[in-house]
Amino acid sequence: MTAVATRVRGTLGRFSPSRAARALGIPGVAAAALIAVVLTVTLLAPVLAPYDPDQPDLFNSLAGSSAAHPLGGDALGRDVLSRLMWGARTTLSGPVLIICLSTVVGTALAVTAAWAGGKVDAVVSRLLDVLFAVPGIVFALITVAVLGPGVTGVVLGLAVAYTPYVARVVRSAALRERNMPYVAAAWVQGRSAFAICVRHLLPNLRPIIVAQSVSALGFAVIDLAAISFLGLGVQPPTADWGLMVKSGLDSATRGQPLEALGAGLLIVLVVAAVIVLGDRLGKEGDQR
Amino acid sequence: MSDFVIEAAGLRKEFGQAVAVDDVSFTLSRGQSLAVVGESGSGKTTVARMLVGLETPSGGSISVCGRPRRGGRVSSAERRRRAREIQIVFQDPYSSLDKLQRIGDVVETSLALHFPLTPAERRRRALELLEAVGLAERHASMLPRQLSGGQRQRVAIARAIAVEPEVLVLDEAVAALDVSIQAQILNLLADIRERSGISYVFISHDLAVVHQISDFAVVMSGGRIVERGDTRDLLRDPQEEYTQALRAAVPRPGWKPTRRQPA
Amino acid sequence: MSLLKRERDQPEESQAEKGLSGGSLLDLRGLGLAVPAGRDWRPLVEEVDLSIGRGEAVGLVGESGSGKSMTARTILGLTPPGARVTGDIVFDGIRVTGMERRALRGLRARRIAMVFQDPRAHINPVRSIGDFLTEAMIANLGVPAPEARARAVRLLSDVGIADGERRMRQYPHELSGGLLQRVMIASVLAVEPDLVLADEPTTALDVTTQSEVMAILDELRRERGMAMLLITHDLELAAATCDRLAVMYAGRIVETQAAGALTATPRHPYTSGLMLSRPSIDQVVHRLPVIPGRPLAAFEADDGCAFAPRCAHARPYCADGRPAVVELEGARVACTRAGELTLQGES
Repeated sequence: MTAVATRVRGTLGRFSPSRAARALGIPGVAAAALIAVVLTVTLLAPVLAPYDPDQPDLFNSLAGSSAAHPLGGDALGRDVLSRLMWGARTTLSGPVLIICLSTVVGTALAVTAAWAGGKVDAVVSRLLDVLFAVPGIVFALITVAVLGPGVTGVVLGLAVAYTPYVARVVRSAALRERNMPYVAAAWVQGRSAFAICVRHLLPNLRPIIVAQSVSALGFAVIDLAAISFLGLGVQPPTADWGLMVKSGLDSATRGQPLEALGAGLLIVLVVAAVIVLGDRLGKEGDQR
Repeated sequence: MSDFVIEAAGLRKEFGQAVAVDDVSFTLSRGQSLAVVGESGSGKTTVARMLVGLETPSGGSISVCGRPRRGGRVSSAERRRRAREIQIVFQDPYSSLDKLQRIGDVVETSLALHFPLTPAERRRRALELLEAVGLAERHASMLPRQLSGGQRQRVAIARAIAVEPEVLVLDEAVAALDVSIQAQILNLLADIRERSGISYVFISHDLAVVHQISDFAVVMSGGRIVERGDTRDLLRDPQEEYTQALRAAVPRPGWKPTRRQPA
Repeated sequence: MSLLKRERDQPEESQAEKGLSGGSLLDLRGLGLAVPAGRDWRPLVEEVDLSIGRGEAVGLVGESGSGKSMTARTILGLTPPGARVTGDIVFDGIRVTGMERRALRGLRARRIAMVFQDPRAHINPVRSIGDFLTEAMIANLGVPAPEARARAVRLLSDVGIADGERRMRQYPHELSGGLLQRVMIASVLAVEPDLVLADEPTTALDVTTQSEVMAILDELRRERGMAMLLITHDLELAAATCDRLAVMYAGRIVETQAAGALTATPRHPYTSGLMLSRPSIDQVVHRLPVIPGRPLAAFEADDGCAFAPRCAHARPYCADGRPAVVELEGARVACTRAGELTLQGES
């Protein structure tokens, strides 16, 4: 595995901001900048958030915008701005975990299927087709039914649901790569299948894997927020954008729309930025 | 050891219903160069791929260095042993190298797989091999895209001979190169054979190239061998109609293109 | 129609007849092509002077990067995006450079046709062979559809495809590369152009098919009095099928001569080197005489003679500026030492 580490370091070593910016284009750079801002705020929430997100304050209940509370308070009077900042952590960490799991499993399945071919490939491909046909929410409902409401069950369910999303694209790219003469040359040299997959195929597939996982991340944010909105994912009183849209709708009918608007807008912006970035990374991968 | 480095008998390969190679037999003696000549669809590349184990024959047998090659799954140790008997260079110099692997690493990986060398020894040997194929030390740290087609083909040759195989299969290895580069690579191959006593199986559609590089030739058409013999005799006085047509179609001084019967 | 009976082996006679036919059909004068590279221009073709007479076949020979294909494409206005064309292209007395797109399209449709290396990439895969062949006749020449179909069948028979009716209903994927290239040639004949640009028309084909396709192209071109510019890397093929040859290196023409004369007495060291380094089917040499190094593109060349770094006959002064083109016993050569060198041709 040291080879992979070297390869990654090598890639980073050749990284230059201006070249990356040119490859991403204006939309890509804007998306990356937005994600960077959101991530910074997320990490610095303990420092930046003006209030404790879980501290009720009855004087601030359903209050509108004010100097002390720019986005007002929710039904329990908790500071909406602080809850949005803290909420980013739960809202984004779940999807990241989902995508990490599905990317690792999906890539392993894809490369194994592409390399082995024949029956293995047929079985894996059919399995992926079946998984792909079932909506992610259904998997999440199943795991929640088994494990009870909570983040763990939903993350596992969605990780399974997103596996084919990564695996199908990576498999077809791996098939193409596997038929390249340099792979045949390595085989004739006596290299093991594992070494060829890890040291030749994976590095060459990296751009496609990254692009596909990043755009999957966008959809995972929506799915997880939707599930929290339904009350099956993140449980109150934890701050979470999906939950905030739900409770915010209630507040909105009582004259405080900022909670639902803020959370909803952030979900839309982050998802859009992630998908644009994924698309750009994919295009860059094509040109290589 | 046997006199023959390769003995192929009754080789056959089917892809579904189609028969790509049918009853192909030949032998190759140590240090000799054998050309397998044919047009597209003649089955010559399939023969090359069967020799190096990239395809499993549907019938017939192959012995390399006196040891019969059995099909099916083989251990990695056995595969590495076979690798030291036979290596291959492909046609396309662009896709036969990993675009992310540096030139020095290509050759070092090959050495690491087969010889117990210290990193320093391996490095030194890799540079020797690059030099032997006409590349310089500075090329070792380059990526394939920084090299020309001819230079990449030199790297592919260095990678193959690093293993010190008995036989090198060259599958249209100079077909994609410019004329002036083709000559350089053909001379390089002749030098390597003279120095090391390696044997070649030279797969090609180009009779002039075959004439220059091989001692013996078999002519394939539709998966079968239609004529065989000493390359010079074969090209000077082809006996079979197909070989005659093939020879007549090669542009040369005083040549005129000719039409066959309407298809 | 004395042109048709002309023997290729008699360059003097053909020169004389060209004079009678009233000058050349195509004239390239100082043609240059450059593409933008950052803030700079990257030259691909430089100062190309070449003329093709009516009914004449000229071979443009070179290795990769020599600019031979780009020269042909520039004639048709098929240049890369943002490219800059300099010099003049004069076709049948009309200046093509700077011509408006519409007029250029008309020229391309009726008077100059191109045969590409890969017919599969240039024939619409979802339309039948019949549609492909009749389209240009119906759209550009205003031929009624039934007549166009009848003509297409005749053309297929001309290029050696007997069962034309059946082939017309087939689709490109059902035909082999050799057959498809013949269809491509038939489509070129359909509009009866004055000039055919053939860009490596047989490179993707087997040798026996190459021989046949070249024979068809050659025969039909002569019958119809069409001129041809054959772009190829294969000097032997060009010598066998063309009246005159031009050899390109690093974006420039280094030598132009009648085909027979060029192969017998090449005047440029590159031409000679190219011929000698090609293995022969008639004789084996211990080692091939090689040209060291690799072919350069125009933008990679230094200030002096672009070939000098690879040239066995180079002198220090070869690095001083581009060699001027000199006339030498019917040859045009861009070599400072052309007059003093005796170079080996084909044996």
